[in-house]
Amino acid sequence: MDVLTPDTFMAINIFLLFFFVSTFAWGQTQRSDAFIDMMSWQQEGSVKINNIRSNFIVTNRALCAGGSMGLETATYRSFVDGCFLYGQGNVGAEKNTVTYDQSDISVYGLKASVGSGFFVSSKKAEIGFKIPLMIVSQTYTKPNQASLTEPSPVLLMGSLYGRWPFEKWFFQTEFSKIVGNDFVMFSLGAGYKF
Amino acid sequence: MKMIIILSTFLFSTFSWGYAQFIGHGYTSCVNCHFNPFGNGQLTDYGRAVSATAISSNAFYPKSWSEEKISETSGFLFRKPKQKWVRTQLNYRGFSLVTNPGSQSREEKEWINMQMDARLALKFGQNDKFIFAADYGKVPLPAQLDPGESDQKYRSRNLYIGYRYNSSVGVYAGLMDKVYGLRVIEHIAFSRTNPQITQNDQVYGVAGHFLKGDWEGGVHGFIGNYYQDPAYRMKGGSAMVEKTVFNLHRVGASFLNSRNDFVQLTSYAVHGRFNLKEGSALLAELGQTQKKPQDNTPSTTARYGLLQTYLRPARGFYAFANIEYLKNDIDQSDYTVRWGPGLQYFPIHRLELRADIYDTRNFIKNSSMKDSWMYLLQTHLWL
Repeated sequence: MDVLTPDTFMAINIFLLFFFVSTFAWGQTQRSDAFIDMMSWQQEGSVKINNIRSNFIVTNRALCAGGSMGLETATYRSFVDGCFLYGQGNVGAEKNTVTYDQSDISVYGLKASVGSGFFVSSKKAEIGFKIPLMIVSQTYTKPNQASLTEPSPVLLMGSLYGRWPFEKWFFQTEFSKIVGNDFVMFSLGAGYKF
Repeated sequence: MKMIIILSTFLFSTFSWGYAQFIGHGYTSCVNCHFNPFGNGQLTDYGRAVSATAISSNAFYPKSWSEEKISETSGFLFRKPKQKWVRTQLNYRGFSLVTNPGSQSREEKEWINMQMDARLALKFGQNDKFIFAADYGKVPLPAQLDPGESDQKYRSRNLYIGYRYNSSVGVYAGLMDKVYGLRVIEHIAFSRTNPQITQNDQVYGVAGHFLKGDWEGGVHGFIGNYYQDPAYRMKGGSAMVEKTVFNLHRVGASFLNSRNDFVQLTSYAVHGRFNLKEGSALLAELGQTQKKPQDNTPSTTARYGLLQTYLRPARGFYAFANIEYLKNDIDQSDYTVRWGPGLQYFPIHRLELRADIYDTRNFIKNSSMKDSWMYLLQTHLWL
């Protein structure tokens, strides 16, 4: 289920470029905020034990704390954001003839995005697109006499996000397709606007 | 192929129900638009007008038509009713369901006629003090029936009489949905399956409704659904209360206790509906359901959560997400998160087109598996 094709990725880039230009073209206000997100994503690696190769799935969950800076007009907002993430992941082999399971292996890393969106209500409820880049570090157990291909530590994504403000506070959600595979990341968080 | 499936559903038209997220348009109480004061079921004249002028797009109406003209066409016969006491409605809801899309071995596709029914409301007395509401229609049967579940293909989901003593107090008796929690349209939501308030969980009973100032509430006593075998009918009671806060939002709590010969369910939840203006809204519910088998085997308590997000970029067009959480047993560490982004479009009154994606992810100790996926492409026709 790979909907983030090169064409889709290009469309997202054009969309972001439009909103970036729109934000800079009209009178804008500088804004910054801080947030914390609960996030989850999956990755895939492979392991070969006793000459049987199997893919394995890593399901991660983490907290990501950080902030964003950007410019906004009455209608649009363009921004960059970043956060530091820390969490845990569980591992399971896809083939039941291979035993390769782990629980709560630590993961930490950084996530940075560029994005643009527009306000859809007088309360500044917001919808838009982001391009996140995530770099993670996670150590997998390597069984004796086995070969292991770990998942990539770099993840590039295309995201749809939403934001619902309550005065200075806000809720936000993000749903991301990881480029190059069928996996997705989703996150739910809250923040404060300065 | 995926685009063909998406486009084919847009050939059909859909009808509009009231939805809890319409608090985003300033409607804190369901009684504004529905005969049933707790929501769901047939729309009143006012509800039809709101659907035509606030919810649905006006892009396909003649430019010369005013909102008042559009409102006048919202009646059953595309005109303002000429009498006050009979209201009718015809509904069709169907969708294309694709599970595990893209999988050569596991992908399944089917078209489901989810709902085909006719509705009738009779109103009498000053300010419509007395009402009779009923519907009857065809319902889809699941692939596998649960024990005691009816195999009737035609049934009623609403059959009740109501009396509004005044604008603040009303009493309703008959077959209705249980009074509990957020009455969201997604009947597969964990917040509906756990307390057993899904599309066929209506019960015969008596419900009281109260609305005064910032407060609204209801109580409901019931004796089960007579489409089920007697041993499986859930009997009990429920209550719900809500308060308007900051003149915009609603926060509330619910309680439900019911039992049959096999299990006792006790559910309790808190919820909120938040108005972000111009159609944008947030709905949230967090609850638990204790399931106590009647054979003295140990009980389990499940915890569920629901967050529905709505953004309205343009009139008639909504982008939303259903974000759900379920822990089947709070004494275990495993849990499930289901994330369902979607688009909802009302191109014209009586027509709803909706596309949902559901991504279900299980968090299991010492294990990990790929997410399971579901596409839903829904159409609604309403007369």
